[in-house]
Formats: sequence, structure tokens, C-alpha cells
Amino acid sequence: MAQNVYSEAEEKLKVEDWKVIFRLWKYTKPYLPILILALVLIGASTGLDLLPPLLSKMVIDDYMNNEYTLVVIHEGDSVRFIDTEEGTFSLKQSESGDYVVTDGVLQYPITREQLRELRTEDLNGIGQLAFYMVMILISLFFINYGQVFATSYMGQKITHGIRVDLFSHILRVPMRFFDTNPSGRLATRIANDTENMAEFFTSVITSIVKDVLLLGGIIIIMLNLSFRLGLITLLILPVIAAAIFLFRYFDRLAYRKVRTRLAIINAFLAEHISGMSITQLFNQERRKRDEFDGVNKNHFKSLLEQLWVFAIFRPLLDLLYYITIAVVVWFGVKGIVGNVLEFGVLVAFVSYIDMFFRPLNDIAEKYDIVQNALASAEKIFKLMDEKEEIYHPEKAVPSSFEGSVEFENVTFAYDGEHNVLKDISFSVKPKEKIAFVGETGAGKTSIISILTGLYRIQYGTIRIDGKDIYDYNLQGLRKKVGVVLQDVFLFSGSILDNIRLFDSSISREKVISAAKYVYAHSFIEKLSNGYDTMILERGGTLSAGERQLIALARAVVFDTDILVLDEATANVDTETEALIQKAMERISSEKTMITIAHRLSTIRNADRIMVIHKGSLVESGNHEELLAKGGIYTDLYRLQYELGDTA
Amino acid sequence: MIRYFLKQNWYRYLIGILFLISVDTLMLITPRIMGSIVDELRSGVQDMEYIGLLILAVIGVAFGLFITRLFWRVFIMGSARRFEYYARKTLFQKLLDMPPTFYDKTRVGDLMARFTNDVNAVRMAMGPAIVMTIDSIFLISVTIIAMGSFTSWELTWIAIIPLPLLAVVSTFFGRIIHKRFKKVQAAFSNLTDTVEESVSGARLIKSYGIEGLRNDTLSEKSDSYVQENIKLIKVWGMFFPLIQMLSMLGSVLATLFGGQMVVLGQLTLGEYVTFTSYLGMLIWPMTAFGWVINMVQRGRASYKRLLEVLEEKNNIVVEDPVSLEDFNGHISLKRLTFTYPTGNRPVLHDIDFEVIPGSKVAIVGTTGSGKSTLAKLIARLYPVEKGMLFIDGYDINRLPPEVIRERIAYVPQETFLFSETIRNNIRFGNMKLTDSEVEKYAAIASIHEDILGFPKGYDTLVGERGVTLSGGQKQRVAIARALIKQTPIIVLDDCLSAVDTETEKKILDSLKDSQGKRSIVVVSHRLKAVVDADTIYVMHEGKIVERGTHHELVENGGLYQRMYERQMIEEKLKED
Ligand SMILES: Nc1ncnc2c1ncn2[C@@H]1O[C@H](COP(=O)(O)OP(=O)(O)OP(=O)(O)O)[C@@H](O)[C@H]1O
Ligand SMILES: Nc1ncnc2c1ncn2[C@@H]1O[C@H](COP(=O)(O)OP(=O)(O)OP(=O)(O)O)[C@@H](O)[C@H]1O
Ligand SMILES: [Mg+2]
Ligand SMILES: [Mg+2]
Repeated sequence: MAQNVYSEAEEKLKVEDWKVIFRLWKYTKPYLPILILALVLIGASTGLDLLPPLLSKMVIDDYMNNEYTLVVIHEGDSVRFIDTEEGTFSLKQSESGDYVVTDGVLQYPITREQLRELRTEDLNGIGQLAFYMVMILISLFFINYGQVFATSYMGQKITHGIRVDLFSHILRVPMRFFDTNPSGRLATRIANDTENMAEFFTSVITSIVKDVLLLGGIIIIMLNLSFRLGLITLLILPVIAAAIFLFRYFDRLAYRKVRTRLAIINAFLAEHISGMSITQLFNQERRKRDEFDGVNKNHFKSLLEQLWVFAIFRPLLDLLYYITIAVVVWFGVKGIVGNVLEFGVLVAFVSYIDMFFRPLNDIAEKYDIVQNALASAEKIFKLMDEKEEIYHPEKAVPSSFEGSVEFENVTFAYDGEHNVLKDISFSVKPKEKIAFVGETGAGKTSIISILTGLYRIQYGTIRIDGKDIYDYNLQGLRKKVGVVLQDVFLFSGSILDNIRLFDSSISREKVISAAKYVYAHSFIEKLSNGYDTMILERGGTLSAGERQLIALARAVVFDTDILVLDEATANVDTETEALIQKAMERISSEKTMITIAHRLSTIRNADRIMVIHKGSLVESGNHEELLAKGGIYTDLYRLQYELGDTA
Repeated sequence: MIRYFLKQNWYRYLIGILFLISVDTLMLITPRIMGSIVDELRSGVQDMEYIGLLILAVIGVAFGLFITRLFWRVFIMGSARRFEYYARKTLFQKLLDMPPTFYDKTRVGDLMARFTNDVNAVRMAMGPAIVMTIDSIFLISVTIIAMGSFTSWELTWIAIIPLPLLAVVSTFFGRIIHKRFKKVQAAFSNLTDTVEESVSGARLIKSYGIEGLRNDTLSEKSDSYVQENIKLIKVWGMFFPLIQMLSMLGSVLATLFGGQMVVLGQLTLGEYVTFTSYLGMLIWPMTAFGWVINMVQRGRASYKRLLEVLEEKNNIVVEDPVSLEDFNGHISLKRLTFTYPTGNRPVLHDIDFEVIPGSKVAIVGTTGSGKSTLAKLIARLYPVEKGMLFIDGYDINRLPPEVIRERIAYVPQETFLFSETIRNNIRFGNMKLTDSEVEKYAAIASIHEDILGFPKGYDTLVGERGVTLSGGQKQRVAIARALIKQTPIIVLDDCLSAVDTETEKKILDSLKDSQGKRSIVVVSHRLKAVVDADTIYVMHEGKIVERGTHHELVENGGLYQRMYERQMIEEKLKED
């Protein structure tokens, strides 16, 4: 099978839980009032939850099971019953449910009407209690609603905070990071993993608080009831702790795998959706299907592993529950036989053990979610720990540059080892127009990338206006250097926004005039909605040249003091290119301009041409000087034009 | 999709459900045993051996429960996860079948969101929801029957009045949850999309220093996702307490009416106590019912979103297929007019175009004139009306895309490499290719020496889309990749634009050398690359405005001549 980047990439990491939780706490802090509110509501609802059983008990004890002392008064054929303190008769319910009035010797039947009359108070009392119960239910409804809403709201907000932070962090990590990390994976971290944490806040924090409270309460009650049996019950705790510990270990392991592999699936998808036409053009659908099946199956397997971990752990708790009950009953029975324990206590104990395990089970259920969330949190924080590019925000950038650029003995390697640029020195005067030429892979684009500090150089100095670029606020610097990248990138959005890069402070008119400058206006006009035509990521529905024109318009709109064009018109026909050049001459007279092109016609206006060969600057000078030298440039030139001359 | 999955996996669910029912049944046994222990204790005889046996029985049942619980989870939840796997597989298969038109209008992030979050929501409906449904139906019916037959049917009817209410409430809320959840998922798609494209566009973002603006965009997208979520929470946050209230309402009714019945002697106290404890057993399944509705509605909403993708039609249809045994490679376009399915105006008008086997045909022209479109139509990436495009005399609609792609290598204008090794990228079309063959084609594409210059040579990983290669290196790898197909026709869509002239010449020359009967179609902006073509087509605004050999066209004095002059003249001037 083909070696595939997706088959590796399972990251190893060790972050301690408390650290992760501590960092999560930082995001939770702003919502402390909501958290407290939620906890209060939980307290209230736990309390209210206990009330209905109490009320039911009251109904039974106070109204249903009421003792009556009656006197019997005979009135002709009928009898009347009067409830007085000194009555000797009482109300008894027979096996069939019917009531009789009896003093143990005499026995009178009692009609339903008589009962109703006699027990109006009971009936009213029941009605009243029922009414209370309804009130409790209604307040429970509101409290629960409030609590669910508060926790979910908090969860959403916290997640939002983490997501925004993570995203802005990622945009600040060095370019190198993006070269080596698939975008789909990063996207998964930002979108899905943060999403995974929302549940943590929504369902976990609060219910665990509730469960722990319940547990504590029950333990105290049990110890009070019978210290011995209580201790026996608590003996199970270490076993449960061990089970939980093991569970945590395996569950986390499993979830880490799940999260990693989900990211792999997404990375695979992101890439293969973008490259679908290549797969299809090469009839490789079957192979790609199998490859996807591989990553998909791996993910499925990790899900199954996790399932087994949970499937074993969850009923294990129930098993422990039964074992505890069995043990307690055994010792309880012995106690009863040995007359050191009351029967009632044992019965009560058994029901408390039941109550003891309920929150435990709930915790177990939630603990699974916790593991899932923490696995995500680990990954998120690991990304957050990725070193950011140093922007030097404290350092100033002048409002405009003179535009001199200087390279002094610059040596650069992307990987820190294999030099791509070797000892390059040159200087560009303000407003000068220079061009870089050289064979492919010579290092022209690399020069541009390090000029704006996208990558760090190993040796040498790069200066703009006589000052080391790292002594500027890098982000500010980049705003002042307009670069048209060799690979055009468009965002999904309108053409208008793509030209002004979503900066709504740039007016529509300005955008249109920039588009006119680079001769993009006419084709944009023809699109279905003109400047408001929506395009998708990378702008697949535009022709390659049209995309380049948009990128050019961008550079014009941002009106920078230094303009860099990296093969900016490579996909544009010469006719249009010539027009653009004329227009650019007008606006660029006040700018330093650096052009890279293979088509020599593109760079004809340069004041100076520099020839890069295998990472070194080998020649420089204007067209005539270079031709006179008879070096590499002459060769390049000859090739381009002799080829033409043969025609 | 679900139906097919169930057809294949019904037995897993069945086994799981059987285990689940065993769990519920076993659960009913332990109270009985406990009851026996109590009876034994009360009887005063207190046979410790018998009690010991009973306790062992409890433990035995407990183990039984352990096993059955373990397995229902493994079977039912396992099936749900299997569904997740299956759903992704089906979706990806669908993606593989979809033509470019689909990708012209679909965002990557959106698809990713469907592959993750939506699949997940459906999975929840396929696992936990099923379990809870069965559990609650089983428990509710068993309890109701027990309640009615052991105590009073009259009271039972009263106590379960909330049940129909529950159904009404659930349908009502279910519908709203469905709607809102769909919006939530759509918002999530938007979010994923913004994230995905921002990460892919990191270089541009950094170069223009617009991190801040992007953060704002993301924040906005994330916020609208949060807002949608909160709208959903408003509903289901109310739904659950409501369900809880309804399920406890039964107890209130029981207290009220049952209490009266006891007071009036229609019911014994014992019966009443039993009754309320049964009612207590109803609370959980009724609440579970709420969960089920929630999950099922979410699942349905997401399932619809999956179906949206699965029901997309492929607009490349093969009618009356022919297999093209002996392929000559004659391409002809007759008065072809073409509008992109996603477009609003024809981008090609009345095109007459021909490639005679073994010839070199060039297409040049202005930006956006339709050159790439023409090339894409030949590669059958977009649907063409009948009677306009013929290959070897057959209407292209009769040729399956894979048949065409086996015979025509199309190198797109935009280079796309996979983030694998260079070697695997080159032999993309045929992974069985040996290293020496890979190197041979790399040499033809003039990339061999560059590759040897890399620290890891052919094993260099190229990064996503090939970002760690220079523009020209990428393009040449793509050409090598196309060459290994050894097709009789090769279409190069301006794919040497980032290659220096020297290299370009070398590549074109070697193409010619190895050509023999091979036809070459070149789209280019560099006229020098096409001067030796047999026919040159000049395009402007969707029409072919000129055609002929280089000499004819130069004589012609049209657009071609102007473009050619422009490329040559100033050089000549400088030389003078
Ligand atoms: N992000 C990167 N990571 C590692 N290596 C890189 C990266 N980008 C470029 N390289 C390597 O650095 C060398 C110089 O590439 P560069 O893109 O600067 O060439 P170029 O002169 O612009 O070529 P072209 O004319 O083809 O665009 C090449 O060998 C390339 O493989
Ligand atoms: N997928 C698409 N959907 C809709 N319109 C499209 C699509 N692709 C291209 N177009 C439009 O069709 C026209 C022709 O595009 P095409 O890519 O064929 O031009 P081209 O001649 O190759 O230009 P270039 O020289 O810039 O590569 C353009 O105006 C473009 O906006
Ligand atoms: Mg380059
Ligand atoms: Mg094109």
C-alpha cells in the first residue's frame, strides 16, 4: 500500500489533567456569575426534588391513615358518626377496602356519603397537598429551565471564547507550521474539538456538582444509620476508585485516538474534495475510495475500542452495586440474627445503597463525556502552545515607507538545514523598479517570503528603510508591502470583498477604480451580479487569468509603498498584460516595485534585473548590461527569443 | 441510506434488543429475591444457608446483568457507530462520483461539517435513541399493565392522562427542534467553512496582515452559530423540564384521586403505596421519551442534510455507451455553444475545432476567453449538449468519462498536488510504477534533477497542494504525473506558466520526441511555445476569432499578430 501521510500523524502527547482544567477555568471565569446562578438553581432543584416524596408521605400519614375516634349515635334506622376526642370507635379499612366503624366488638358499615362528610378535612387536605405539588412542579419547571438554559448558554459562550482564541492564535503561528499541517486537521481542532467541549460545560460541570453533593449526603446518612454497615459499604469505594482510574486511563487513550483519527478523516476530506477533479481525471476513484475506507475504518475501530471500554466499565458499576448489596445484606442478616441490628435499618440501608449508586452511575455516564472533552481540550491546548510568530506589536511602523530594501548576506533554509538562499546581498533604492529572474526553483518566491518576515532567516539582515525588518511591527510592515502571491487565493464571498479583503473601510468606488486599473472591471461587470457576485473558496468559477486580475486589484487597492508582484500576470495574455503595465506605471511611479517573472516581456520596465541561480544572486544590472555580460541572463534571453525566431 | 444499512445490519440490532430486553427482565428478578430474603427474615426461622443461597443468586443475576448490559451496548451502540462509518463511506463514494459542477457550488467546509457533525447526529438517533425507545416502550407498557392489574384500572387511566399530553407536547416541540437544529447545523457548516478557508489561505492573510479582520469574520460566524444554538436551547431547555413536569403530574393526579379513593374506601392503603411506586417507575421512561424525541428530530434534520448531498444528480450522463476499442484520437467540435451549469451566459459560442491524430494544436487568446473551458469539455468534466462534440466520430455523450480519461491526459491550469511524497504524486495514476519509471517520466518533465537536489529526493513530502515546492516545480510534477498515463492525446492547459523558458522548451521538445502518434493540445499565453503548432486557434470572448498556422496568422494581421508583435517587438527594439 502506498505510503500515506494520513496513516501516520497520530500524535503523542501528555498534558496533565489539572493543567488542562486550570486552563479551561480561565475561560470559565468571565461567566462565574452564570455558573453560580446555575449552581444555585441546581441546589434549588435538588431541594425541590426531595419535596414531592415528603408530601406523598404527608398525604399518607396525615390524611389517608388518619386515626379517628368516633361516637356512634343511633337515630332511628340510621346511625350517625361523630368525631370527638373521647370516642371509642375507630375507622378501620377491611381487606376489600371498605370501611367499617368498630370498637373491636361492635361493627357498623359506613356509607360513602357519611365518609365524605366525616373526612371532609382529609379530602381538603389531600386537595391542598396536591395543589402544593402542582406548585412545586411548576416552580421546578422554571428552575430547571433556568438551569438548563444557564449552563447551556455558559457552555456555548465559553466554547465560543476558546474557539475565537484558538483561531486567532493559529493565524499567528509561523508560516512554516501551515506548510506542514494539513488544513483539514487544524479546521477540525477549531470547529469540532471546541464543539466537543460545549457539552462538557453544558451537561457535566453542573450535574457532577449535584452528584457529588448527593453522594456526600448519602454517605453521612449511612454512617449515621449504622456505622458498621456504613463502613462495609464504603469499603467498596476504593474498588470503585480503582475502576474509575482504570476507566479514565483507557477511555482517554481511546478518545485521543478517536479525536486524532477524526482529524485525519477531515484532513483527508479537505484535501480530496479540493483535488477531486485530479482523482477523477486519473480514474483513481477506486483507490481513493479504498484509502478513505482505510482512514474511515481506523476511526471506526477507535470508536469501537472506546465503546468496549465504556461498555465494560458502565455495567461494572452495576455489578459492584449488587455485590455491595449482597455483602451488606449478608452482614446485615448476621447482625439481625445476632440481635445487634434492627430489621428496619437493613431495609433502609439497602435503599440508601440504591441511592448511593445512582449519582455514581450518573457520574460514570458524565465521566465518559469528560474524557471525550478532555481529549479534545488536550489537542486544543497543544495547538495553543504552538509558538506564535513574534509580531513586535510594540514597535512602530512609519505611516509610509521611503521604500528602500536591503539584503545583507542573507542565508535562508526552510527547514533550518538545507539552504535555499545563499549569502544574498543587494539593495534597492526607494522608488526603484527591480526584477528577479531565474530558473524555476531558484528561490525567487523565497526572497519575497522572507522580505515580509513570513519565514525567519538564519543569517544576515534584511532592512527596509535602513532598519532591520524585525525591528518593525511585522504585521504593520506587511500591511505596507503589497504582495501579489504566486498562488492566487480567493475567499468565498463577493468579488468586492475579495478585492478589498473584507475591509469595509475601503469604499466600493475605490475597489472599482482599482479593478479598472488592472483591467478586471470589464469581466467583473459581465458576471451575473457584477462586483457582488459570490464566489467560492479559491474562485473555481473564474478563469485563472481573471483570478490573477483580482489579486492584482487587491494590491492596487491597498496602495502600499512597496509593491511585489510574484508572477502576477503569468496567466494573463500579453495583450492585457501590456495594458496593465501601462496603467501600473502610472500608479507605481511613487512606489518601490519588485517583479518576478519568467516572461521577460513582463519585466521589460525594470530599472535593474537580478538573476537568481540556485539560491544565489549571480548577476545584476539593466537589460543591456546583463546582455553585455553574456552570462545566465543572456542565455535566458536567447532561449526565449531564438525560439521565437525559428518561427 | 438508513434503510439499506438496516437491511444489512438488522440482526445486530435484533441481538442488541434481545440483550436489552433480557436486562429489563433480569432487573425484575432481583427485587423478588430481595423480597424472599425479607420474608425469610420475618418468618423468624432464619435459615442462614438459605439466605446465603439467595444472596449468591443475587450475585449470579448481577453477573448476568453485567454480561447482558455489556452486550446490548456493544451491539446497539456498536451498530450506530458502524452506521457512522457506513454513512461516511457512502458519502465519500458519492463525492467521488460527483462532477466538477457540484464542486463549483459546494464549499469544502460545508461538506466537512456534514461528514462530521451531521453524521454524528444521525448516529445518535441510530443508537441511543433506539435503545431508549425500546427501553421506554417496554418499561411503560409493563408498568402500566402491572399497575392496572395489581391495583385499580380506574386510577391507572387517570394517572396516565399525561401520556397523551406528552405525545402532543413532544410532537410540537419535536417539530421546532427539528427546524432549529437544521439551522444550527447550517451555521456550523458556515463556521467550518470559514475556519477551513482561513487556514488554507493563511499565507494571503499573513501577507496582507489581515489576521484581525479574519478573526472578526470567524467571531461573527462562531457567534451566529452560538446564537442558533441558543435559539435551540431555548426550546429544548424548556422541553425537558416540561416532560419532567408532565411525568410527575401523574403522581399528583394519583395523589389527588388515589387519595380520595383511599379516604372513601375504594382503594386500600397498600394498593395505593404499590401504585405510587409503580408510578415512580414510569418517570424515567417518560423522560427518556423526551430524549428520544430530541435525538430523533436532530437526527432527522441532519439526515436530510446528508440526503441533500446524496440526492445530488450527476450531470455527466452516458447514453448508449460505446467502448472505443481502437482509439484514433480524432476530436471535433461542431458549432459548440456552452454555458456553465452554474453560469448565466454562454462562455463558448459556435466553436468549430478539430484535433487530427498526431498533430499539435494550440489554443491562445485573451484572459477569460474560454480556452480552459474548451479543454475541460474535451476531458468531459462538464456536460455538453448532443451533437456538438465528437471523439472518433462518436458523440461525447456516448463515452463514459473514464474511457475518455484513459485516453486523454488533461493537465489543468491550476496545479493540484496531494500532500504525499513526490514519488507518489508522480505515479498517482498508477501506483505500481517502479522507481526507475517514475524517474524516467520525471526526467521528461525536466523535474528529475530538481528532485535529486532535495534532501529527501523522491521521498520529499510536498505539503498540502504542494506548497513546499516552487511554482514551476509543482507544474512539472503535475506534467510528469500526466505523462505516466501514456495517453494518445495530451492537453496542457497553460500549465507551464511558472516554468522558465529554457525548461519549457526542453519539456515541449521531449514531448515531441516521445510523441510519435501522440496529439498535443497546448493552451498557452506564451506564443513562442506554440509557433510550431500545426493549427493555432485564437480565442476572444468565447469565440474562435482566427485559426491557422503561425505564419498564416502573422500574415493575417489580427489579434494573434498583435499579441505576437507585443511579445517580440520590444525585445527586438532593445537589441537594436
Ligand atoms: N514552504 C517551503 N518549504 C520548504 N521548501 C520550500 C518551500 N517553498 C519553496 N521551497 C523550496 O525552495 C526552493 C526555492 O523555491 P522558490 O519557490 O523560492 O522558487 P522560485 O524561484 O520562486 O521558483 P518558481 O519560478 O518555480 O516559482 C525550491 O527548491 C522549493 O522546493
Ligand atoms: N466553473 C465555472 N462556472 C461558471 N463560469 C465559469 C466557470 N469556469 C469559468 N467560467 C467563466 O467562463 C469564462 C471562460 O473561462 P476559462 O477558464 O475558460 O477562460 P480561459 O480562456 O482559460 O482564461 P485564462 O487565460 O485566464 O485561463 C470566464 O469568464 C469565467 O469566468
Ligand atoms: Mg516562485
Ligand atoms: Mg484558463
